[in-house]
Amino acid sequence: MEKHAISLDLQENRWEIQAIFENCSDLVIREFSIGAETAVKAMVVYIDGLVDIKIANQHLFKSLMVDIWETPVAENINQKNVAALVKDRLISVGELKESRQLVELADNVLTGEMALFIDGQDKAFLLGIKKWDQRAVEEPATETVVQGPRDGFTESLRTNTSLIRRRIKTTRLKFEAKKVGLLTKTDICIAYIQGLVPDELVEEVRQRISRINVDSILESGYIEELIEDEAFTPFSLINKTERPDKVAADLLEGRVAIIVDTTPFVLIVPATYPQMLQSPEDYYIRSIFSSFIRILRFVNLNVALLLPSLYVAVVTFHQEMLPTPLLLSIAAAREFVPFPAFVEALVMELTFETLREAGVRLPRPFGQAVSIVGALVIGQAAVMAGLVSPAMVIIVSLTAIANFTIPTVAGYLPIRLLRFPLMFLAATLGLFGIMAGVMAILIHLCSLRSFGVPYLSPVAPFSFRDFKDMIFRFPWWAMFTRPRLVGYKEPARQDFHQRPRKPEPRTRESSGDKHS
Amino acid sequence: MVEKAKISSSQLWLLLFTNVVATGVLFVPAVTTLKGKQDAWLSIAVVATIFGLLTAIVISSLAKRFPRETIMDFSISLWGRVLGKIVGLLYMFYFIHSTGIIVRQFGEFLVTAFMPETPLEVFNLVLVILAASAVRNGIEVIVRMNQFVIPLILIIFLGLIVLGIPDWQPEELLPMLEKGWGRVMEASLTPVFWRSQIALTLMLIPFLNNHQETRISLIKAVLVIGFILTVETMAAIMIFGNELIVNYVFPTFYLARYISIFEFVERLESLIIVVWVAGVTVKVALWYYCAVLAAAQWFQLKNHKPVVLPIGVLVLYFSVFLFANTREIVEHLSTQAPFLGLFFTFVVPALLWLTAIIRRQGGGKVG
Amino acid sequence: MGKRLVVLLVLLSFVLGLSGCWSIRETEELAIIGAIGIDKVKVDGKEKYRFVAQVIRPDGMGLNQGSGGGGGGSGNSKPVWVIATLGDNLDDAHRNFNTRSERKMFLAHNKVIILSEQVAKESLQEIIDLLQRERELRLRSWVMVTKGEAMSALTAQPQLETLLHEEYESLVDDTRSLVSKAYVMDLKDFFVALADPGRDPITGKIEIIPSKEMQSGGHGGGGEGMSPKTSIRLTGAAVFRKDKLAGWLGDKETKGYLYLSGKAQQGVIPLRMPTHGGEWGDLDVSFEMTRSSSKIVPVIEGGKLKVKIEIEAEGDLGEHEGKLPIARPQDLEVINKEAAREIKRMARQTLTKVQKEYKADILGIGDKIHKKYPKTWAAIEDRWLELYPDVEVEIKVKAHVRRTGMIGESLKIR
Repeated sequence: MEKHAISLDLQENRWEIQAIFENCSDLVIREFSIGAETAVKAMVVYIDGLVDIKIANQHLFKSLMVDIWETPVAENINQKNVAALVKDRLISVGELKESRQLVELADNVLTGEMALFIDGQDKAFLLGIKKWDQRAVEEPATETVVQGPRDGFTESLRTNTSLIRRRIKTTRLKFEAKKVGLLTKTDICIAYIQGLVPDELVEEVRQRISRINVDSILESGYIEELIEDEAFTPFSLINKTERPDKVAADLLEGRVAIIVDTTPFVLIVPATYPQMLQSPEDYYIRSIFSSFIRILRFVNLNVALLLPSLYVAVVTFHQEMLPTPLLLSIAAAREFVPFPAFVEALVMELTFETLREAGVRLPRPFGQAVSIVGALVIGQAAVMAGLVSPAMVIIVSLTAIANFTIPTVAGYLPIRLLRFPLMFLAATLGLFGIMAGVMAILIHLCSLRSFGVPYLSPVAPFSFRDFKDMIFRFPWWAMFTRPRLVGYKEPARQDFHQRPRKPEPRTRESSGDKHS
Repeated sequence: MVEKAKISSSQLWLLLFTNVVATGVLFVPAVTTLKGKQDAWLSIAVVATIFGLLTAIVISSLAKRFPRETIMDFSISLWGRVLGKIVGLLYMFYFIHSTGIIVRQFGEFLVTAFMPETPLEVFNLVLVILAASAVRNGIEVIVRMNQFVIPLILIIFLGLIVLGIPDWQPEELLPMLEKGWGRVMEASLTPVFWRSQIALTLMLIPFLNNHQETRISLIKAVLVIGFILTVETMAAIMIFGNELIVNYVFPTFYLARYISIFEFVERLESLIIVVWVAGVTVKVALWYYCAVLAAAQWFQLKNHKPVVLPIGVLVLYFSVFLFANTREIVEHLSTQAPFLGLFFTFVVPALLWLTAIIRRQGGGKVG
Repeated sequence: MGKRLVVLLVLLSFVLGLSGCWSIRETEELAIIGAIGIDKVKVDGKEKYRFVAQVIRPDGMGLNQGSGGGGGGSGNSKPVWVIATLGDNLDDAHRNFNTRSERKMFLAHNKVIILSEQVAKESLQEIIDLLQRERELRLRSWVMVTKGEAMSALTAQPQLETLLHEEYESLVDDTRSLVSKAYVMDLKDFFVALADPGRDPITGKIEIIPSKEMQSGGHGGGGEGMSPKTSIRLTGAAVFRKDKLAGWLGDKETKGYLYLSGKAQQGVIPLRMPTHGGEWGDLDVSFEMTRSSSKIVPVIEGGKLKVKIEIEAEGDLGEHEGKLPIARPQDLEVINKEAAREIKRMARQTLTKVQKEYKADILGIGDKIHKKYPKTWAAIEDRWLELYPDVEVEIKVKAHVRRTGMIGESLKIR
């Protein structure tokens, strides 16, 4: 693109600007004069809605046009000294840059800076007084916790970096800025803690991001799909979160976060599947309880994945597996059901997925209506009409509830999806089919890597050390090391021997002394 | 030529454990008790272990001498190009043939015990497809897959053993050594053969990242396998007695079936499917991988992936057409297979080792 | 590389989907069988096997759904349907099941196998072969022999349970543990005893008794599904010599067997106390056993084989007439002796009957010899059953009263 230098003539600049921003009705141009007799013409250019107009009024317009008369400066102002005077004495705004290129200036104006042109100057001042309407820091909707911080990322990159910075107050925490997207020019930010993170990893992230050549990035999901290791897989190879505490914890393990402007979702690499079964809350509540929760989640993961297919397999192939009374009651219930168990299960699961999708997309009041229709009409009526056996309804509900216990979206989406092929395998080959499907999934998972880290670590490849934060969550005084495959540059997290112990019993005399 | 991968010493013995136990736990008690009656466990616990240790020493010594080579390479450097290539070819065929037999065992058990109406070919095909996808992804995937399968195998088999305890009648193990060690030796052919399958390490030597510990992990594998197989066999004898056990093709399966705790924990045979599919997938993937690697090395290919498909077809062919019926397999497993197996897993490696000692070849430089 | 999972699953699905589903059987295609019986009947002067199966009808337990009672039933809501089929050999009879039932026979939930007396008296070889070869049959099924026809044992009316096989199951559990008057083997033990040359099977005896309470009708209607007038009783045991029924043991004899084999659990031994220093007169006391154990030890003394059986029984003091104090330690000592004597008498009686009359080694004495003296056994193994009746058996019994229940002496009524 041709580089337009800023002209000395104010009017020329104005025409140029108007040409560049043709038909941009949100552009505001305001001309005024600075000084008395030797008044100098000046012009302010900004995008309406992106600048803090209060600050502009107070510190730019008022000080240049009104307050100037209360100082001796006004008298002496002229073409030569105006620039220096304005910069040094008249504009009381913190962030101020100079620009000599119109295109660069236009880019900056588009990000919300205010440009000040002064007649006779071949440069313009850029005032960083960005302000636009944005959501306040709120509790994240997707990853709620009972105990733990309630702040979540917002759509603003700066707010997001500040939320992280507030948690990690070290200069080793770096935020590398980049712009991606030809049209959107989205700001993104690579965050990491220098010295903790493997250098190859940061380099790899930089490279993969610089390889991106698309016109737009509207959400971090765009970036996720562009920098993944493996294109076709139901599993997310990159972690996504809107919780600053989670990002901070991952940065401290030696991972890299990618913060994207205009979305509250921050990407974290490398990701592993076991991570997706963990909630930040696990680290805030008592370790024994969180270990219990993790075991429960692991069980539920298997239930959510396998229960419908196990039902199909048992009811159509392996009736000998059930205790006799249970078989009899299932058989009695199925006696009137017109469909094979597989069709029954498939229809019910699809119905549930439909209801769920409908509930998510609809406005909240409708969502409730949908769930009532789902529960009453589909559940009860179908059973009463003999279309579906009650056992099947129980299975579907259990599966759904188990699915909800998985704390991250990336964790449960593949499970929801893989349930269906497994049901199909169960219907054709029974338990053997299920196991074959499970082994296929296992082989696939074992072959996945996220930024060079095996997706199933620390289970496979097995790392005994990292099991302290897997199925069990060890107490914090026992979290001696960072994960072996990401935090190897500075493995030690803390000192040993920090286990709290009972205080030494005080001698009777000393305690007696105190009380007396 | 060979892919870049690393297997740690603990991964090695876990892999060998699955390799032997996956099928061994179903077939070894049956074939061993057939000849050894109530003394069968001695064949497994004593004779096979001693022999297994011997195999472990031979293999680990070879691994120490040729830390960067598979048997395909060092058979050439020890015995010359012509003889070495012939040995390599034989090994390649042995691996393919054995993979076929394992796949057949797999399908045969499922058909016999679970789904008699389903054709054998379906099971074999599914297994070969699964194994092929693992093999294409390389040895590391097989190793990692195994780390998931191991806890499953251990929990389920140890669970079956523990849950069977109420039905144990320890006096069924008497009289010990009724017919002396002669019968024990005679019965030990099958367990010895199974234990010697740890010789698959010969194809994995270049991947091992710690050659100092190879011997220890092989010995560990031999002992742990011995423990599981012995306990499983003893449990089967103690529950079914030495007269009835010979009647069953799969005593372990019947053992799982017989368990009943409070009439609630029962009908556990389905757990056997779970272990069987998981364990045998790993086992077949490993043998298949060795076959593929052997072929790739023999034809001096840059990458092992092009041979995956043709060898898969061969394996499937062998698995379906090698035997006409179940009795032929049992016959093969109890007579020919052990001798054929021992030739490749023990005799040839031992001869290679002797040659290496005599000719002082293979510096054993590890680095 | 990542496409692999997708390709794999799609490929697998196609392979399986195209090739169909062979072993599939929906629950509504199954005839779930709770109990089977084997009879031999004469039809047109020809001996034929009759295979009797009790099919559970899942819907029959709740809603009325007559599915055509092929067995001549009225089609009312009966929870079971008994199908009997004839055949020239057993397998034929067993396969003929599906000429009567449109549903596939499903034996995995079978709990009870009943053999008729007549079948049991002939060789069991054919039956055992079928039972072993049948893939679905569980080794936990109870094997029982009925006096009379297996058919009638399967058409009896359950009293407390809805299903007859459940009634059999609970009878087996309770009779074995609470009264120790019957002994039932499961299929596995039955097979083991048959396969072992030093052991013979013994299993439960079913008696069919006319039941008066049923006149007013209990469950459902009549028909072949269930004859309302009979119910079952598990009592005594059937003794086999090799694979042929050798004879029966009564209640008390069975108890004797249970003592001898150490399997006796709870149960009552009524004792009539002797006149003891003129103190007691003829006093009735009962010894309520809580546990017992036995040791069968073969010994070779001077080249002669001898078997020593040591029985130990423990129990509480049950009812006594209460006229006189008997719960003092020295009295208990007498009761101990008396109980031991009674147990020994019962044991001896059973042993004599089994050893001399039936010549069946149900105690597994041969097996004990095998285990202790394998060399001697090798010499006698082939003619063991001929030698067995003449083996000298010595029985020693010890009994101990441990507790006297919740009271010491009886309430004195004055």
